[in-house]
Amino acid sequence: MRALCWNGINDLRVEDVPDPSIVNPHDAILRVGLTTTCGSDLHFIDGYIPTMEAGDVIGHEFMGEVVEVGPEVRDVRVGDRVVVPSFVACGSCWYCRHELHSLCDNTNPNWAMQEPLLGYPTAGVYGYTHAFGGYAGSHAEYIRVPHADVDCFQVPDGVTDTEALFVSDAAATGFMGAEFCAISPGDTVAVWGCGGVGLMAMQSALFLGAGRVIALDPQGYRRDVATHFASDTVDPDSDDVVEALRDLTGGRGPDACIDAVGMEAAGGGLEHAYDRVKQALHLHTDRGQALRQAILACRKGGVLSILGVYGLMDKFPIGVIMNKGLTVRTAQQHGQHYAPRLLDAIAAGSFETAFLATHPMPLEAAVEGYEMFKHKRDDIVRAVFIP
Amino acid sequence: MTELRRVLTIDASADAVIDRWEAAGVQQRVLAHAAPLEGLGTLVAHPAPGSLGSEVTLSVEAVDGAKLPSAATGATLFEALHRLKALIETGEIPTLDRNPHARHSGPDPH
Repeated sequence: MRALCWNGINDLRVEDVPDPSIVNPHDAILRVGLTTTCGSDLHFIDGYIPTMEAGDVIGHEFMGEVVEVGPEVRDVRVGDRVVVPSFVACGSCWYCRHELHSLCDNTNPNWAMQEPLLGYPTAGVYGYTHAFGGYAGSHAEYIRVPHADVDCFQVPDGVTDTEALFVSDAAATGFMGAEFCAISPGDTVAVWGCGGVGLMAMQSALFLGAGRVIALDPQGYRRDVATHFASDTVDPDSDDVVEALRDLTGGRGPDACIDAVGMEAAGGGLEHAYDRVKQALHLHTDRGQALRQAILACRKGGVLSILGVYGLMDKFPIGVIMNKGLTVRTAQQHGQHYAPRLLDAIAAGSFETAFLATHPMPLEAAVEGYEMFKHKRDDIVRAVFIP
Repeated sequence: MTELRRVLTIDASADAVIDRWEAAGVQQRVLAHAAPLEGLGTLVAHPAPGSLGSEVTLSVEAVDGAKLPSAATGATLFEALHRLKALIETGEIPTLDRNPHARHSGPDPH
């Protein structure tokens, strides 16, 4: 089959790879219908996250049709149209039973590789480094899905493939990030990053009762998209972010701040230059300007919800968090917990996702798709590949 | 005496863990990544607090000045315990066997 493979830093190629097959009894094989870029992919494409191997198939946000099931799959059937969360969950361990699926104990075959990095291993992920399991990704014609009965969610008839696609990651991550904020009716929520996850977080905040959303992003076209949900936008490149947010909130600061940016934050000034130099020298992995701004801007006693992917960062202002009494919530997405609710909301017309798919294209054009996505060309939000 | 040990909580009773460990073919599957340890490991299980199952310790030891096999590392014991845990809790061991990739030469590196 054809698949998009990582062959080194900034070296992606669409290549021939073997088809996947049923290996374990709870597996299913999907014919991938749609699969999309994610900002977190850029971190290993750019070389900031280790344990990729040349030839790895990438991609972790996808939907498709079941074409084969293992002998112990009970509920999923050949022909089902399903969406699959990015993290592989077993459904049986303590973490899965407590709806913390991205922390699953039993799906990362490279436990011993990840333990030194995190202390305890987490769930495996499709197409996202060997420390996170090494599973082949979704930018391919077919993909093996372990624990199919736990991880495949039937797409309702009234929901299109494109709408369902983003339930796999962006919508689930954004919804979780908004839920972390424990929103009271009328709250103000500020969201750093107007990409797919940030936009889903904004919509989710309103869905959960926020009175107002403020969107921050250095790209004008992304702020324009965000005005679909945000009443105000801030350009962190030209505005003093903390001052702007104080002005917009009567001097109180946002009740909750969501970081949907991660380790490759754009920015300027001495702090950003310091981060870039240390990142280039591999002295730390992260440019954390957005996260530091969120910590400073959040109101006293507010909530900081971190959805961006990070590695190692210094100059992390833990004293500000402590002295302001902030609550910090963060996780990789527990998609299995959110998928049914999101699919129901989409089917009911109360949650939108399809507008993220600004650039559909064949899988053969995926290298160009990532170039556009990385450099934010042509007002792209997401490139969506059709294998 | 040189001893190496690792511990992991598994969601099953101590008796069930020991029974599974001693079942035919299980140690072979669980130690597939560290075949020289097959038959050398000692597994002990005690009840974990509340309803968490059992705290399971896998250890290997060398006596009379002998050295532990080179395959005996904290990482291999840790992985063996996780493979046993997955087998008991889910009925299968996660694997990268036949994992598609474009390396063209040999199996997946992990």
